[in-house]
Amino acid sequence: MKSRVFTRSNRANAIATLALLAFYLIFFFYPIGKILSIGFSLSSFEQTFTSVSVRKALWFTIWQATVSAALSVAIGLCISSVFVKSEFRFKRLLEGLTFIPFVMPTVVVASAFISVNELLKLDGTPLNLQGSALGIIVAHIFFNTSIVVRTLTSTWPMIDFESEQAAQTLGASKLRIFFQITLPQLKSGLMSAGSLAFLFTFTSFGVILILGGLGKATIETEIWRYATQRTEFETAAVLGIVQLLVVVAMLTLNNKFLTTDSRNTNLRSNVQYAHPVSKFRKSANSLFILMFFGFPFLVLLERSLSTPTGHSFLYYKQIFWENSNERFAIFGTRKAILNSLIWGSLAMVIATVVGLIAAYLLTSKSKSISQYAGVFLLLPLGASGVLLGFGILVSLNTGLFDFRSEWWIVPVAQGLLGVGIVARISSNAIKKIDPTIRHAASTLGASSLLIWRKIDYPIIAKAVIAGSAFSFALALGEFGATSFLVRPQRPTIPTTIFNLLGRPGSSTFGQAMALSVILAVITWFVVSLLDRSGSLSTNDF
Amino acid sequence: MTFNGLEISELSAQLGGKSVLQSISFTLQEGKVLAVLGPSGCGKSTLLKVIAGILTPTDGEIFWNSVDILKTPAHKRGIGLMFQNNALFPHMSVHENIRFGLEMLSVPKDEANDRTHDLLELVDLKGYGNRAVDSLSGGESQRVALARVLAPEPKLVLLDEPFNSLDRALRRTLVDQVFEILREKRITSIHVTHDGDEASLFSDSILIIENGQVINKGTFAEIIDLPMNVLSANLLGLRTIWVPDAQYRDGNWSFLTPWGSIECAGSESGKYQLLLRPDHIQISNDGLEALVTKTFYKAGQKYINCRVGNLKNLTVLTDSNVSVGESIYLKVDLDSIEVLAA
Repeated sequence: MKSRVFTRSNRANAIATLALLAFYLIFFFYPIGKILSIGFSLSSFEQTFTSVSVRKALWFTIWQATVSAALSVAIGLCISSVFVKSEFRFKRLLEGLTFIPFVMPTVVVASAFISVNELLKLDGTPLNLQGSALGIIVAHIFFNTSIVVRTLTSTWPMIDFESEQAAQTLGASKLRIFFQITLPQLKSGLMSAGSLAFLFTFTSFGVILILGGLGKATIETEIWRYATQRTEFETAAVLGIVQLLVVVAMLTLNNKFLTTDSRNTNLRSNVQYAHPVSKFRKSANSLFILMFFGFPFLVLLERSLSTPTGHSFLYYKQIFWENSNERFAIFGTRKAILNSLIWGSLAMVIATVVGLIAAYLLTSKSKSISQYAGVFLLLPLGASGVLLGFGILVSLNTGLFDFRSEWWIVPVAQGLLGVGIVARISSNAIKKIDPTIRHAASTLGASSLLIWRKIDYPIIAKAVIAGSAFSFALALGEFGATSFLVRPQRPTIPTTIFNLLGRPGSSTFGQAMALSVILAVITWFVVSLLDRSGSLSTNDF
Repeated sequence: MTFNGLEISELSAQLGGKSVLQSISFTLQEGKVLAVLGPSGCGKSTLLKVIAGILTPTDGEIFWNSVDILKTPAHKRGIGLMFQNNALFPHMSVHENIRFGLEMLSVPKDEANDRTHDLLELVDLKGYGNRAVDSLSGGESQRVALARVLAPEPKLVLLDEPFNSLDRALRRTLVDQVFEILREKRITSIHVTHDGDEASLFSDSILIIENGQVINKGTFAEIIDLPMNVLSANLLGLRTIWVPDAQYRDGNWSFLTPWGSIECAGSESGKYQLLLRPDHIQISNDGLEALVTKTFYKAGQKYINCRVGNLKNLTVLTDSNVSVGESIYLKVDLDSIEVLAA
């Protein structure tokens, strides 16, 4: 039986769907397919994996991703248990602070840890954060702990808390309750967050390139190096295929354990957990969050103001006013800010429009459409920027599709990387709409169009705004695809920060720090808008 | 000749390839209330959704005042549906929810606001207009849903077990209130429920559905006098129903009861149960010995449960002063034992 009201088979829908498919085919599947066709041969694989540097990069990628993901999960678990099981002053603020790193651009985080390294003079000590595996792992934990906390704080309240109380009355100790009762119930949340953390650390680019330097290469940075520095496309393509396989495996794992949102968390607001959180743990937790998540940003701010003649806004002035008259003009910092804002906005529009069409396909009444859409349309969500940038570089370079030098290819690639997030957030919101309220509207005289205008749109608007804002933040900080596609005369904030950090001198370093602060402030502003407009769950990633 | 009201003819429907309604036919005169009873999953809600136009049937016809409305889309059918979960629009206030249907009819804003205020008063929610719907209690939500359904003055109101989630006391009050309003406004309505008592109080007629098929229809009195099948008897709260020891011989069934056997014509493949109403049993010294296992009161009347032979829970209406554990003697006229198709 068909529902009369919601068959979306009119012409406008068909055109929108075709436009969406064309967009995906040209800008995503064709570039990725090209990588596959370049790299998919036995000799290429053999040649690539006999290289010592590639094998080293592969090994480093795997172990640093494993350690980073495992530590992120462990730290995230500790923080979440305090957030979920207790109420205290400034809890909301601290929760917000743990979320900020996740949306911060990689270049900002790398800059922040470089500034910590400089301020604390860690260079040459065992705790050196620059050019060391330790720095990379710490920065990855900084990023990914927020995913774990975000996931667990939404799934933890959904577990059967009375089972903990039952275990307590049966004589179980705190530890036993945690390991035998709580942890098994958190399994899907942990696996979901853990697989995402592994995926993000496996495909990390900005942090490795900036913090790791030449000595610490991963698959992602090797793809970039082979494609742009050594122009050995075959090797880059083979590494791209390996990376793609890991991405697909991790996304599959993540999807398997993806947890559903809490149906009514209000019901659990007064839960009495078996063992309340001690004052000491609450304080230690707060202190850790402030130090680990807040301190790097504070140091970044301090370094951006620290000049050889004392603290001042010199570097900010250089960015905005003096830059064009100085030798630093090659970095075009003002132009970079303008480009980032314009391209970020364009990318946001692309991500929103394409993401919304994708969301409606994902929630199609037809099971086959929604299933195929689920597999194909959400792929960009897991694809790395480097892979997409590399794909566009080697595919959209001839004939009718010679786009790779066009200025607009940058916002298109950035937008494409944000499509998945808009589609996921919006489709989750659409799915949450109780179908009976649409039926009610229909029986009260509302046509399909009016139902969309009066019911669907007002309900999902918050989610769409959240998705758009997030895609804007992503585009602003996007470094992987941009580093392949951007021309030197058309820089963005992240590429300029990278270039500034690559030059010696206190002035370029200071400008890099100041530009990082500016990017962090813009991102923070967008994220705070996003957090106010609606709750963003890690199930959306 | 024109029939004033709803006519359903041979209506069939499928959900996910599975047949949910099979050749349902009935009529409902304008201004009357029909109760649809049946166990969970029997197709009651689907029937309402098909009548409202939300779902399309695979076969059959729907007429209103002899006009075919099957091809009329839901939003133009003028049939109101009150959902099990109320389906209030979460992003709109109480006032906006109620006014929604009037907006769809392009009723001028002032008039729509006035009518919304009147409806709020009608459902005892004066002053609730600006409240968010998530701040309402269960009963208040139901009343908003009712006001919203009534606002566009539908020709037919369908109630899909809207009172299910309420506690007993509130449910009774609200049911009284809703049906008083429906009667006062002479609104034709179909009320899906599985509460036989509720159906008896407010419906002019009853339709009993099982596995997507009508298995009984008539007035409450007709069905309670002659329930025909076990489901109808159960839904209307009749007792005591039991599976008897039985023998089939030469086209006849012989059912064994503690008071003797009953003969009844029937097919060999047929399945039957027996019904013995509480008021058809007498406590009398020339009856069979029975042990009182329980006493209880319903609607102010005293009942006892007894064990007679292998019959464990026989309910008897009595005003005698008997207590649990006591032995009594029960007399039954075999003609008063009814045979029901299972």
